[in-house]
Amino acid sequence: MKRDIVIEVVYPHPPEKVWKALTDPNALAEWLMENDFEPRVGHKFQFRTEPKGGWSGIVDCEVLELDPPRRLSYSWKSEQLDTVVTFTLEPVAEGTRLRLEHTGFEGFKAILVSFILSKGWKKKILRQNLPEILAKLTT
Amino acid sequence: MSKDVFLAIADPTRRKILGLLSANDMTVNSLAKHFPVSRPAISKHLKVLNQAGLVTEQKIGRERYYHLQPEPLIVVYDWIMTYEKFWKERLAKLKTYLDKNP
Repeated sequence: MKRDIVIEVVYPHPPEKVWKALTDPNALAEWLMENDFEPRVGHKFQFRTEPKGGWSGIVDCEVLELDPPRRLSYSWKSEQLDTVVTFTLEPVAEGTRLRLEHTGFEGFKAILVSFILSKGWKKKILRQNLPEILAKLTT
Repeated sequence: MSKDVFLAIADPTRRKILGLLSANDMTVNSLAKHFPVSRPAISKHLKVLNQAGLVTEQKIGRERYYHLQPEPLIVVYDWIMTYEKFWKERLAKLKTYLDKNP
């Protein structure tokens, strides 16, 4: 069952430059969110953005791993859910392959799958393309 | 209200309770048999689930049955699905940032 978010992108830039964009608070504010990040294991910080819908717009984080310029990991706590975000940088001919993994959704996804497959899920939700929903949660 | 839903399903025991109720309506006693915790502990969990709108209770004869209401979970589904979109957008913004800066 697909449990995590994994996205890979190749950037035409050297790993050191990509690493800097991932670990400099000003850079992060530009492409990710306002923050008080510091490249130090154990550092606790927050990402902040406009609240939207039910979301407060605040994410509580702690730096877990720091291995420049190869691997960066921090906890990402939002809406009671403890997840982990990990960036892995690999030098390639074209520049840098950046791999983002956002893990920790297992419990929530498992519960959604069990409902979709049970009698508990009402018809109106099923009409919203059940195969697509299942595919997204279970590949 | 949606904050309650996230709090409700953050606990693995409550997730398991919901899983059991998705198959059948059950009483506290029947539910408690599936867990190593006390009946009052299960009642407390059911209270949290009730507050989140995820379960309702109905008295049938002398027994109180709990019933699953899955609709509030839509907000959780939306939230998980938005994360994938969120990261794709941010990584695209990272590309713009890298291209713009020497």
